[in-house]
Amino acid sequence: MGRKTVDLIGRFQGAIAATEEVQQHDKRVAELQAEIEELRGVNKDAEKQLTELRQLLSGQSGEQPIELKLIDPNPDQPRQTITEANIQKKMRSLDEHGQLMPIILIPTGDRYLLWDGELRWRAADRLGWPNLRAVFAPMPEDLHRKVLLGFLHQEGLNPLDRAAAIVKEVGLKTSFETSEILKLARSAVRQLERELQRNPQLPKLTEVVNASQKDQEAFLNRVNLREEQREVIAVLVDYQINPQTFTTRDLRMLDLPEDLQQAIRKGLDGSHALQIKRLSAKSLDTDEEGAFSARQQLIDKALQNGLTRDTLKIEIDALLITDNPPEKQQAGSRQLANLTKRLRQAKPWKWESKRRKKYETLLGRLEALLADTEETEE
Amino acid sequence: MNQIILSIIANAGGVGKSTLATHLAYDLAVRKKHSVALIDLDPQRSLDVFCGLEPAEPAQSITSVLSQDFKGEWPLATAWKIDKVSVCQGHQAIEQTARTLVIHPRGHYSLSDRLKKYPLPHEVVIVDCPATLGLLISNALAAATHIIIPLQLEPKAVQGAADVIQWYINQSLDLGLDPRPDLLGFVPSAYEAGTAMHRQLLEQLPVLAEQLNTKMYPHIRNSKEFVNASGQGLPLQIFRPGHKANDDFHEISNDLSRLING
Repeated sequence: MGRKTVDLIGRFQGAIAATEEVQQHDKRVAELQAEIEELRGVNKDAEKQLTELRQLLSGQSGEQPIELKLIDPNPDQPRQTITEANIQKKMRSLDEHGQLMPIILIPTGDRYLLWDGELRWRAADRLGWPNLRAVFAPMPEDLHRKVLLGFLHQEGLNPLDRAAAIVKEVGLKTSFETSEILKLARSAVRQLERELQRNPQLPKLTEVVNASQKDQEAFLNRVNLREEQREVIAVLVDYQINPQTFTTRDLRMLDLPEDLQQAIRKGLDGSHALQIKRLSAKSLDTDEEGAFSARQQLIDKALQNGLTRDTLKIEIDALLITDNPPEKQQAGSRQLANLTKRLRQAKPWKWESKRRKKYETLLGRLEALLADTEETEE
Repeated sequence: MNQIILSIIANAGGVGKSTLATHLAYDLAVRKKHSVALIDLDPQRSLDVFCGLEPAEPAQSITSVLSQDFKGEWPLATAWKIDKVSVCQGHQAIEQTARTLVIHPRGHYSLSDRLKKYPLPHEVVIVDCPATLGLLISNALAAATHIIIPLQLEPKAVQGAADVIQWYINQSLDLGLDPRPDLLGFVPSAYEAGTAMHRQLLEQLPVLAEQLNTKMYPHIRNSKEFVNASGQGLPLQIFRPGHKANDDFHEISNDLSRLING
């Protein structure tokens, strides 16, 4: 022996990286396909429920003609894409056969929110029709559960509205105030996490969420929650919302300062908002007004240029460091020690090439930055 | 029945592609009762040797299939007098054909197009490829439902096999193959238990297979009898029916048989 062995794995390093990358890609494609299938399923269900609902409502309150100009479109309507061809087709159909099905409206004061029938509404408007026949639904909280599920589980609903919608729903079902709901949900999740850790036999929350109502009840009876906590969690899992995700992701949206909430409604990405939130009066060592204007600058920039998450993070880090040097010094050195350790343990040659490239770029930038600083300091 | 089109791909000569192609064909036909067509894309015409066939005229070889005026009459010879094994013989002229394919808009998909427009009736089509990555192997990849990579346990061949994996991934993307042909696995070939290098490399194979998320088939042992059999134009299974190396092909044909039967 003593002769050097040929490192087979080493020779295949590039091949392994390429395989991992392409398999990740394949996996993502499969996931997206499954997601689409799932969404289709939800929509199909929703269609069926809508037909039932229409009959039910028509029997209750009857149909009435409603002026088109009194109708507001539903911003979260299940049909996300409406093409010109769709509208043209519907216009022909309305013109030839008239309106076959009543649209479903939700009375909101003296106006109506369109629950179902956006295509008919738009086509009728183009045809110059003054009104459409409609049936009326009570507020969406009382709409059939499946329709609401379709509504909550839609991709693309902005995260803030989603969070607000869920809290509102819990409020309606339990009659707790919003602030109570937040507190109860958070304490219940902490308790659940402790119980799950202690008792590995319990099903995971992700499983509970997808379980039948009966199994969900059984689970909630097995864990040690206060009655109020149990009520809140029961509503969440009933709507297939993971309580953990709800407290870690959704509730963070509600904690955002008002300016950031408004920005989300204008189209700011939820994760961007969470980043910008780091700019507070305290972290910037300034007053509320100063923090507000610092945030506003970045919000405008993000909304106008569509900053990537990384660029945004770098900008924010820069603001926090330059504006607040003494406090950062020590934290920075701890952060540096931690980072160095993790970098040493990292295996970038195993990463997908995009990530690897990013890693190399960042290293390059770090080097350039250090070289630059050294020059200035000298 | 699912037709399997299996391309045997390697980036080095003498790693056992044709040995694998012919012995697999025999095992599939005789032991698993499947009909098999062998296609020789190698200008060296090595399948002729292994199947004991006289060289074919260009019109009776794969070159006619890839020519523009092919009308679906596959030139097929029978191997070893076994009805279930047909061979589409190779020819040196395929290198010229390949050069004309370069300028053809579907040059990379010629074999695939032929097999789709004029499908072979066989349950398995095994494509034996030339030893260098180029247009002909791209054709074999584009036509394949599955590929298999012989892996000779020598440093040069190992490097070749690593390159093949990267080529297979990138080429599948470039050719827009959807789905990408499945990588059935690696077949360690010409294994000699007495060679330290072979033993060392063999030990590392399971880890490699796991990291590449593919299958490592049992190795095919090296035997002078393979050479002796091919000298007679016969597979080892006919030349030496009781030889242990005959069993080395079973797992691959069992897997293929399962794929055929769905």
